[in-house]
Amino acid sequence: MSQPAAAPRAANAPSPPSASSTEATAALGRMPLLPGEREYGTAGAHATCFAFAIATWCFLVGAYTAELVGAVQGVVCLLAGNLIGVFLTAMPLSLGCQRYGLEQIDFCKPAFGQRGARVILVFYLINMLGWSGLILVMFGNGIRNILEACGYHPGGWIVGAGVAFGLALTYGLVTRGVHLLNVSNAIITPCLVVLIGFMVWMLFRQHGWQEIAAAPPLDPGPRPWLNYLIAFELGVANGISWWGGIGFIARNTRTRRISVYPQILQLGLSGGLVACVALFSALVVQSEDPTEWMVPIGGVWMGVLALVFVVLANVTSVAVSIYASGLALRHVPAFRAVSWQRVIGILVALCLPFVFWPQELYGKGDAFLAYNGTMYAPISGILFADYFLVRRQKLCLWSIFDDHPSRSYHYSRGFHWNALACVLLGQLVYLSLYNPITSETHPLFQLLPASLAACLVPAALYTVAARFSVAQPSAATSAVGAPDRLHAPNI
Amino acid sequence: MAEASRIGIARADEPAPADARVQELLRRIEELEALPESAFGRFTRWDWLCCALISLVLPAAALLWFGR
Repeated sequence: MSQPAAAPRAANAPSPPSASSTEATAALGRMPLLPGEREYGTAGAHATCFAFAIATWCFLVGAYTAELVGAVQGVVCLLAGNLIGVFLTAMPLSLGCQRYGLEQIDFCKPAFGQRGARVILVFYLINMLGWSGLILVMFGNGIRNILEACGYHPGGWIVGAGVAFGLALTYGLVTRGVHLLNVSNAIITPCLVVLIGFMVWMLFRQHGWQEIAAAPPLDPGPRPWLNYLIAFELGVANGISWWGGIGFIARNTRTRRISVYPQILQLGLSGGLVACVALFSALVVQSEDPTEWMVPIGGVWMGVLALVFVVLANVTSVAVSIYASGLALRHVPAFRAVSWQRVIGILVALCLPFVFWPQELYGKGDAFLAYNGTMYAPISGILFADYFLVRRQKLCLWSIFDDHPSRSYHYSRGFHWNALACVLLGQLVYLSLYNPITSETHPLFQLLPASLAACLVPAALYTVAARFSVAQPSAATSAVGAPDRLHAPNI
Repeated sequence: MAEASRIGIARADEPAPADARVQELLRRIEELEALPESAFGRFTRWDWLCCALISLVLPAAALLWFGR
């Protein structure tokens, strides 16, 4: 979702950025933001985080949860999981990116090394492009359902064609200018609030809480406790998926508190609540496809109107994700000289599999959501340990923006192998406890959710390794011993 | 950010000349390093406690309660 400010979440989500913060980033790129340049006070940060939190990927997360559990357990899993996931991800990223005005890939360099951070960039792009593809299939499904509600039956090909059309729109939006995203977001976000309010009103007016609570899950496994734990796992993965957008917002906030509380309350709580509305809709309509909810819930005309709006909202979400991904690619030297149109063209091309196999890939969306936990849980744990326990919140900006081998964050040929090995170990821990592809679980999964284990184990090992590692720079040498000039600037 | 808003996307995404960017980066790093911690606001132990309560303790308690 990352859900992302790209992440845009992409974000949520992934985790995508808002258009306004995207504009700031476009202008200043990776430059560390000075306090006077930062846009967000308390209200602005809450509004931006809220705009991310209610984006359309929340519908997908709620729908995936509805496959496993009913309304009551689903609400608990989505809210608890989302809050815990956001906490683990947001604390180091928010406080670190806010203090130093850094975007998140630069913030990863002290822990993973100058080149090691590019490995994290790959995970980031997988997250962003995966969410973008899923949302575009939702876009294609929306077009198909609009046509069917109007009496046409175009066949399955329309979904792939819809994805291709969505990609073309995205390319146009992203290459034509941020102001188009601003205009689009300014219209879409209030309309999404209205749409979600309309859904809640219709759900409770027509069906009531008793019916919603009694609705069975769509495709549960044979063991209820396992369904509950996997649904919680999806909730945590959803919270952790905001990794892509959190640093983007935090670097634009004025104080430490403003960098943290809006993320927890909006991305964690509000995002979870919107996913709960999607959960209720999926249970009542008995469909995991968000574009199939609108007509049964709102009637034909209101349903088609809502569908048209969801379709438009999806394009905006994808455009912000692709935009943030394009900016992130500027970390790679080979992409710094490439034209913006070509960068975006490459990213759009990477989404083409969703044109040819839309339903096959859409069907793997829950596994992809869980895989976000696999990717980001170890990274979040290591960043938490590195920033708070190893470096005591002291980073060296000179070393972050300097590729010279003498710098503290160069480690071994630009890679901090301890940290990268811990990421790999965390992913293995996750997969050994819960495999999101096959849904196989280890008996220990009952005691410790996979995301939490994949976060805690690498964090603990990384902290211990840092005590013995010669290459690990101390906070004192990093911050104070740095000469005030750059040998090989990487901006 | 006013300056940021004035810069169009075409120019923003096509980076400025390398020397100018490095000079700008140097200025920013020096300025950020010189600022006191108080310039970035506070985040106290009470904030940590509050966040942990909202984001860890209460969700974990709810999860265990409804999972019995």
